[in-house]
Amino acid sequence: MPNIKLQSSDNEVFAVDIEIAKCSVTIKTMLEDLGVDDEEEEVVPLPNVNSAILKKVIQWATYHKDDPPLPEDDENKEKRTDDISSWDADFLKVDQGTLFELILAANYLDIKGLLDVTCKTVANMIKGKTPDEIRKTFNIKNDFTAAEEDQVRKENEWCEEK
Amino acid sequence: MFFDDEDERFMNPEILHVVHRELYAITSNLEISPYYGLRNVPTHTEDGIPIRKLYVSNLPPKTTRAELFNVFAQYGFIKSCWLRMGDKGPNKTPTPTYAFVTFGNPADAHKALQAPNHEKMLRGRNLRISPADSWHQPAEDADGRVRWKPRGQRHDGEIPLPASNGIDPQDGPSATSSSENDEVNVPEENFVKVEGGSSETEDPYNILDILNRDCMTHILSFIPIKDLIRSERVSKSWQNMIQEYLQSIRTFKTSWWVHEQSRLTTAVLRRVLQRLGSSLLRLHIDHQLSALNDRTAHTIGKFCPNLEELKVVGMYTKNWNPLLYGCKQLKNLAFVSCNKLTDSSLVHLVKNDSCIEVLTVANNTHVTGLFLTGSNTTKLHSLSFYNCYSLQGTVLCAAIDTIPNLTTLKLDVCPVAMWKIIPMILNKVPNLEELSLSEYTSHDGLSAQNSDAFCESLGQLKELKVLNLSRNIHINNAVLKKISQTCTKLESLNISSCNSIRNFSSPGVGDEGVRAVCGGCCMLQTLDLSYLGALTDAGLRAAARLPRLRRLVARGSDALSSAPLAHVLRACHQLEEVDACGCDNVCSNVVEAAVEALEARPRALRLRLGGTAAACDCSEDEPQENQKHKLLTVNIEEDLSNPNLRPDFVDQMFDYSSEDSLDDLYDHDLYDHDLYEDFDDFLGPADELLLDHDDDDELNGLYAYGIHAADIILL
Repeated sequence: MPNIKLQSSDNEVFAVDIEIAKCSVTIKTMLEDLGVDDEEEEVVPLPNVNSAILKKVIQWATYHKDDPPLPEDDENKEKRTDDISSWDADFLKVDQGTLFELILAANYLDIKGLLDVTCKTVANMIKGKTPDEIRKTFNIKNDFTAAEEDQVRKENEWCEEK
Repeated sequence: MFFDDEDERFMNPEILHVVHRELYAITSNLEISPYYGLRNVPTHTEDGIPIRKLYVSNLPPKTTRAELFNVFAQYGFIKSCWLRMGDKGPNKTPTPTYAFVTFGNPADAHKALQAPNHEKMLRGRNLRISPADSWHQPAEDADGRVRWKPRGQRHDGEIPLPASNGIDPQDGPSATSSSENDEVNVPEENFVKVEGGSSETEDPYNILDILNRDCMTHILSFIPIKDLIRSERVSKSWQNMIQEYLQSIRTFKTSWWVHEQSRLTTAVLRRVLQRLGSSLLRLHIDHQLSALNDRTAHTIGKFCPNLEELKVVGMYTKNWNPLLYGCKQLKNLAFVSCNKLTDSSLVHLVKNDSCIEVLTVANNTHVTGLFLTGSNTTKLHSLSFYNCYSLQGTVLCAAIDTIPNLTTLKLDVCPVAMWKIIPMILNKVPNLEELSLSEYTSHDGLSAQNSDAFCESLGQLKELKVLNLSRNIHINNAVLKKISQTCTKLESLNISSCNSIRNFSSPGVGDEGVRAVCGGCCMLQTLDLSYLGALTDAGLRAAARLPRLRRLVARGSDALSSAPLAHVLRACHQLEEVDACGCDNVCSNVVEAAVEALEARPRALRLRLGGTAAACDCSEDEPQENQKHKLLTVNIEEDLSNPNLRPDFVDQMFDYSSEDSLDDLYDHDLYDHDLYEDFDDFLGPADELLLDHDDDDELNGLYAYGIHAADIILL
């Protein structure tokens, strides 16, 4: 299999199997648009992804290279968050900063599988939590005044009780 | 910049700033377009917000805020400067990864972006600078006030800015300033004090600052609506985000609510629709045990002006007219198991000036079809009735005249007497593209005369693309031959469980008919031949003559073997799915044939072989069987076939005698079907098995446990 070279924002170059790199739609379209010859080895610069994150992304893509293509998003279906495979769950046991950067990278590189699984992980941090817990989890400062917060609480009383 | 370092040192910074502004004014006059100045540096984000905040990366290790400040202060007043500290340094020590620099004045941010790279160096590194995502940019209110925090202030105390720091008067006076943990404001005079400030050692990142809107939306799409609404209290910017997200939702099904403890009452639905109604296109009220009252129709009409699709399941509301006044765009309307629904409920909804294009009524005991009489609706093109006990063929037949543009007609599980009228109805709709006449299982009216009339009326339908005749006792080889002659545009045909009993004297569906269809309807893409007792390998083999075949279903028959399936797999290059669930004699040869076929054509293929001999082979010998080809998915676990529909099914309930003669079998079968029908007729709301495929699957799941449709009604 021919390789492709991916250059991270901090100028580290990774040689990746071209089929694995193509799970990123961004890279795939780039290669198709440029009509890159398989023979020559191109260096693709990825200015929005640093080497640590790129390494993780490649690790994920290598593990998932044989996955069947994901179905298109269907907004008629309720989206589930409980179908994260155990490998992915282990893979995503990282600090929040890394998780967010993985989301940004997956979004930028257009890797649907990785974007879904990372977003599901964050969604699980929000689901079923009280506003207080969400603030704590994501380090968000409550900038409502007591009166304002009371008003919102009152408006949403019907969904507050557990 | 226009001065070299030497000069700059002796310049009065005040004057310098004025000069810069003048120069900027000159250059901005030269702008070609409002969004792109010289050198193509944008001054506004794509959605028109002035760029004040810059994203700075490629920072040297150990960068401090003061250093960054020094680099950017030359371009104008810096409102705030924030460093993101990661733990990626040696031994996981904190090290800066990127920074945001926010200028008070967009012109200064623009200058900083435009400035030559060598000016923006820090410890020998070229800083990489780009406008921050519009998500992060401080927004401007209509009256020019700047909200410094992304999407809303976080503090209420408004401290006026010191007047001396050279902000343009138009954004100055009302700008708010506050002390925050994630973005400390740095007035120009005292920035030196900030060096060694605490924000370098803390890690005050915030999900809203890091993730852009696309990513946040994707995350929120995985969270139940109730959780989203409850979380509004987190912070102001969070509340903004949630409300904006809710406004972007197009489809809401109340069945998504069932995991919640709080019941969905009309009052709750009202509050939900208040938030998302204005942009909602599709609403399904499809949760079980509805606690919704008659006001629900008003609520929907009031809050969902743009609704295009409404499906209501199991509600007892009779008056749905409020929909008329609110939902002017409503095109697709479905009432399932709505038992109080009558002709008078529908007569105003479906009339000559209404927008309704698709109407579905299912599991209903009152609607006769009278509401259609004289409706003269030109928009209506799809009409479906499923299990409507009171539906009257003659009324419907007369009403059909007033629906000129009908292209889809479904009359499934309708009264026995309907069958005699159906040929007359079909004669009036020669442009029909989709027809469904399934579950006519009573042998009342099973006569050669009726069959001929039906054949003749089918002969008119030259435009037919989708035809469903499953579980219809009136279908025989003659009907299929007629179809093969007329319906040359047919793309989907379902004749599963038709009248097909091996060695039975009455002519049913068998090899002959299937062969005719496969020869005549060469556009067929989907073909369902499940549970046909008289279908043998020779008949199934004919499917190989369909060049466009994508999906072949042949479930639950013990007469079929692997050979014809393998033949079809080799011949039909468009195939995407072959489903032979429950065919006992289909073995793993099919998998091998599929692998072989895939070598010749790269197209993803799915085999469903649950409950076949292949399933036994595979599970015992090689669990890795489904890894044989990259494009091949083999499902051997799930048996989707319904044992009760099998031609060799013997209901234990009626099997008093130990004799298993075929005649007995046939009688039982008929008796069985009659029983179903009676149950349906008396109990009205049966299983909810029409409309979407999901529901179908669910039902099949129940069938797998040996539960009949009739049982489900009783559950």
